[in-house]
Amino acid sequence: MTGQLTLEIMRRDIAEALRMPPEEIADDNHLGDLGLDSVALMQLLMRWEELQPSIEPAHLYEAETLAEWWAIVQAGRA
Amino acid sequence: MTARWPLTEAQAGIWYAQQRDPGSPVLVTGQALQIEGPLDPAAMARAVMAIGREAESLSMRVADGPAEPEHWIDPDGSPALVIRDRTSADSATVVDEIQAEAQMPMDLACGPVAAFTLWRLGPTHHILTERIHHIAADGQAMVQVTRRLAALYDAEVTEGEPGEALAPYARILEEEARFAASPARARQRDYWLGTLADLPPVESMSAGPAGGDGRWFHRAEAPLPDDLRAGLLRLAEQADADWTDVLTALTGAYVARHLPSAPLAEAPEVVLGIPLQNRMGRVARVPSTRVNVLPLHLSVDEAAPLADWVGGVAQKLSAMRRNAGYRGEALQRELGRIGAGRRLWGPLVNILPFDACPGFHGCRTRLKILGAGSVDDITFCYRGDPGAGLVMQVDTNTGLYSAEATATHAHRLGHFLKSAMGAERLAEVSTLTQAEFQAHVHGRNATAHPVPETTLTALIEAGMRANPEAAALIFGDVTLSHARLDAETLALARRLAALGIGPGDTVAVALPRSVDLIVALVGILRAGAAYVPLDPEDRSARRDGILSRSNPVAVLAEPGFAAGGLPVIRARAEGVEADRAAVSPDDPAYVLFTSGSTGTPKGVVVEHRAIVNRLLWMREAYGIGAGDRILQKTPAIFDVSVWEFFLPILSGATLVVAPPGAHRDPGALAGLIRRHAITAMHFVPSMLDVFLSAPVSDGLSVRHVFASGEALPTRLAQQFHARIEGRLHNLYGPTEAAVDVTAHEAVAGTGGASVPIGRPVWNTRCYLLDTAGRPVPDGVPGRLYLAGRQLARGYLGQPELTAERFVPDPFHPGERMYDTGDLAISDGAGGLTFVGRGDDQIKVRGARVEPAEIERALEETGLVGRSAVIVRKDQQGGAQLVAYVVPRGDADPVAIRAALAERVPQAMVPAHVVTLAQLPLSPTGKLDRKALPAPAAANDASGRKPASEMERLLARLYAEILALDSPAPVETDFFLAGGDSLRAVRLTLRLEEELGVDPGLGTILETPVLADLAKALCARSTPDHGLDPVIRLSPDRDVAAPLLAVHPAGGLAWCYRTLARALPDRPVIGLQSPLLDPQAPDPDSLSALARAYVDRVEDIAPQGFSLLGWSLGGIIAHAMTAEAERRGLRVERLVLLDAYPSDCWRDEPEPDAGQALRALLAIAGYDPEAHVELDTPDAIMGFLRREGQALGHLPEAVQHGIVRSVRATNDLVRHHREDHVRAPTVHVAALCDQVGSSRHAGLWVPYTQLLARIAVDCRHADLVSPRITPEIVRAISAPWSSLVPRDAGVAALGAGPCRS
Repeated sequence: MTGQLTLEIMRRDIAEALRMPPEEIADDNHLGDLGLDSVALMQLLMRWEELQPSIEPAHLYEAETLAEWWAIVQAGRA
Repeated sequence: MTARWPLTEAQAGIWYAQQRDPGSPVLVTGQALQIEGPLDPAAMARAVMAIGREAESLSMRVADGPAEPEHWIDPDGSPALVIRDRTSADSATVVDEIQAEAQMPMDLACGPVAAFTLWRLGPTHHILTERIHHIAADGQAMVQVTRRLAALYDAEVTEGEPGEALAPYARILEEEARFAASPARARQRDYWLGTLADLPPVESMSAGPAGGDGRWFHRAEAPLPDDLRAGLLRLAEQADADWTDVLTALTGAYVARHLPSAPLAEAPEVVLGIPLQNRMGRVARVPSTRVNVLPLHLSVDEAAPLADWVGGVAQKLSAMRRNAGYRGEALQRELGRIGAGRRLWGPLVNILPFDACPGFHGCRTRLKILGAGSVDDITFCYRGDPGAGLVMQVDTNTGLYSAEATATHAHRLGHFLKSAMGAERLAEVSTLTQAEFQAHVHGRNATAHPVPETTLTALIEAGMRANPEAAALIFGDVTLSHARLDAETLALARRLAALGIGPGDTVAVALPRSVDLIVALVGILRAGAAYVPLDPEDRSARRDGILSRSNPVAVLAEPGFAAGGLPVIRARAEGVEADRAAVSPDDPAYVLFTSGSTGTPKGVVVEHRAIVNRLLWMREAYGIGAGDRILQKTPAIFDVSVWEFFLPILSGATLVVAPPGAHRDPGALAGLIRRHAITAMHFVPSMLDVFLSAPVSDGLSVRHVFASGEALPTRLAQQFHARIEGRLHNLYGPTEAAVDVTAHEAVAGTGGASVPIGRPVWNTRCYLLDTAGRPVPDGVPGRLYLAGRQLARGYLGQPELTAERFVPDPFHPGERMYDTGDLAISDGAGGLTFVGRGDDQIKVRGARVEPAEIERALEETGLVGRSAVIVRKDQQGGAQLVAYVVPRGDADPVAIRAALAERVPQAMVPAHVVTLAQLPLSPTGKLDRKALPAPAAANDASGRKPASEMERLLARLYAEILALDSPAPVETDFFLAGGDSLRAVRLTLRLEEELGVDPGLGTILETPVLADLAKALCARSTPDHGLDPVIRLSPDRDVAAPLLAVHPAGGLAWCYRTLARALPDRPVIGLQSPLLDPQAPDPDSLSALARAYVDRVEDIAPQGFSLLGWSLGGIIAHAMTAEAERRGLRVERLVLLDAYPSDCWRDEPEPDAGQALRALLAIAGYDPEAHVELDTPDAIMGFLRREGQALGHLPEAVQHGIVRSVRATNDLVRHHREDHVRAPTVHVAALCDQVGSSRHAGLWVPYTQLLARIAVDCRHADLVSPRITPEIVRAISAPWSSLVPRDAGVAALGAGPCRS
């Protein structure tokens, strides 16, 4: 467990999964509309859980933007 | 009032699919969970109630609204667990019951759309079956529901908390609205329209109809082995792709190997359908149908490094996912990709990487998927992940694939994936498994048969000497014995030898059919030389070219033949003789010139050993011997003549030589056959067609008729067997392989467009290869290569051309194979069928088109005698079909085209129909394509304004529904002009309103062009709004005896429409009450009415019929049966739908006018008891109009007619006394209404001889609903024996419990 999950790590990983440049993923973009699907999300989760085991996946599925995800991750730390 | 909403785009697609076939269960998804352990059924029942409350879509209902279909959540509609105790049943019975349950259709308007059944097999053994219509849930929603059900169950058992509830359905509607308004939608639409602009025609892997009804699916599944899963991950890493992308890409490559065009294309293209889950965000936890199928267009680069190609596919998939919100259904509509031949995607590849099997507290569970939710064509599904394990499932539409083909795909795909893992490039991966390869290349070609190393010359000499006194040759009045022929031909051979002519030389022959011709050919062979036949009537430059290229040493011809300086020798004359040189099997026997693709004739050199193999095979295969008389009618320049000339001589049979010209004259041929008692002869199929159409051919007897030279249409084979007593053999082979290399006997009554060409003859191999030289799978067209003993030496004087067409046989090093340029397809056992030439494959509007199939359909219209369908380039350079027909009577091209449009997909309807007095034939009797005239613009159906009343009506409705500014022109294609499936349904409703007859959605899908649709509708609708005493409820089909469906009390027979659609093989004729006509007099008695009805049908179905009647209609049907039997007419079966003898009604009060009109509700498919509030005519008619029912628009006079019919029929019934009938009678009882009443099937016992009983768990009104229709079909069509002993079990297997 090295380092901590950050907003930029999440953005970078999402961008990689979507084969897009990270700067094209705005905090309030609908990630589903950008092409993120549950398979990709599952793989992202596996990656992120190493950095932060407490993420509630059901909540991430229901969120639609990076900003919402980041809020969920932060809430998990509290 | 419950809120109603328009369908989401996803739901609309499913609704439309279900509308096409309302009684089909294929859209119902289903699974079974085997649960081992101490399950608590009561807790499970409570959990099902709870999931019903949470997952609102399980209570969904869908029906037509005033403007468009609507859906709503029925507050009382949530599913309840049905518990079936099967602790004492054997497991096979339970498996059957579960399978039967899985295949029950669902009624979307009435529900339920979800059903849960717990099958209790023992205290610790249960099966939970879950069924949800695809309109309410997709595959992932089924997983969500099941997991949540498990959580709710566990909470019940442990008294714990069930965790977070599923999300509310309202979010689906919110998301639909959000996306519709979002800029992402417009962006995604642009992406798709750009990406799909150059989408190629979409092909199917299906080789053709498979015999199933398409209402269910075949499944084959297999786990992927561990090393394959490891390979997947490795390849994914190399390709920088997800493992799911690797599977999709490789499955695409596999599919490409099976498309009709792929084995012939340099870079095969494949269009897959990819279901994308489309449920991120607020909708993620709402069980509903969200999955979105979108097309993935792949170009398969077999030469590229595999990881590179897979990486490219992964990029495309990423781009797809970024645009996964835009609905595939919308793209289908916008691109006009709806209906036959216009699909937007082919096979589906569905990867479901989640564990679908939850645990129930204290129990172990195993999952079995029962229903896939719809299989349009073929679906490759992978479940699981490489870590935990992957299962491959192949699901196929039963109408397109057999169970065997499905299993083969699963096996072959597993093999393909495995070998792809170790390959550098796709080019290295074989399509076939090793066992298939072995069978295709070696097993099916195991034709080794001992043939002596001898010459045609030696065989002929032995034949002549075996039977010297018997007739060898008959020509007109001349008969030559074998001894005489022996002497004459030996003399000629010795004269030739005296001129120094011997083995290796060629001698030309330019003689008409005559004794001289036979003597000349045999004489040349006996001299050891090869003969080169010339057309004696040909004076063209072509003959001069052949003469100079074949370089003969002499010409055998009539005196005066212009031989360009060569010696001209007469066949029978005196002259100097000398001893002959010995001839060897490797010497040429003959040289035949065939047309070359370059226009220059090619001289094919055939050696003795090749033709010896062919002739000895034929002699043995058909038992040709001394008693046979073989007709020689093929000109010597064609290779068929070779066996006609020599087979009789070497078999000791008699050769009957037809006079010159007789081969084109059916009368002369029939005379020869009769006079000489011909036992074997040949026809080119075109000439056989002409011959069979001539009255003189009727009743002939010929032991063996051989057809070759063209594809032999199945229809022609059937015609042959109807007219001629004898066997018909279809042979195939090019001149380059000694006449014929395959054979198949065309027996009567086989399917397909063309008769197969069969299997290889002795010492012959056939390979079907793709462009990379790999054997193709069965059912996929491949280029036909030939190898073995019969191959010609090559082309005379053309070594390059010889090397090009006679190539090394890769499967037998050191041997050659000949590239025929023909395409063939193999059946599962190696039987081949010719499908066309490799160089002129025909495709029109995306659909692969078989001219033979269209020709057959044209002839089936009955409007056309002979026909030929060819492809011409149109002005834009596209391929255009043109049909040349010889019309029967005064049928015009428009009528012919419209009639054809009813029989074939739109893509197969020719753009032009040209009528000709006769089809031009070449001198050989083949169709002369070059002589066909170009179609004239005046001779087709385009560019016309609406003319008939029906066309004007359609022009108006097209404009209304498609929002056009003015009435549509007659050539308007509904779908190309912007129509989609929903609009097509609206068109059917509007037509039903206008015409009173439902044209059927299928009619519009099949004939979207206005003029064609008008013709189709005119052909089937009745002018007086469907109130005729006799209405045809299905197209006339001459298959089975018709079913006559008798109206219930209301007098209309419209209620049997659903039933008629479910009986594709049987014409269904509705009988309606004459009382609908205000002018018609009241009948005296029900028996008099029945007599009048039998009068009506006697002419329609003189061969007999089945009768069916619902309600009081059953009493009339029974009375008709009695009357028909008195007249000696055959009633196959009498089906009584919840009808009871008149005794039951005698004391019941007669209905008043209001009650009588309520019969309309029943006719329209509503339960009158469920609408007691509708108690006046106005209320009833208003209700029907609001429900969008055409009945609501009936003219007032007809309403009165219905009231009159109901009251009169009731009155007649009360005075009727039943007679006894002999016809087998099936009674179908609607249990929900009859249980507890005094009415039961047994009341019919005194009035019937044979009575079978079916009890269905439904209401009286449901008997004509789509849900129950399969039961009624069974009552009509199931074998009697299957109906009699099983009456008690039907309720459990039949329709589900009714809800009122």
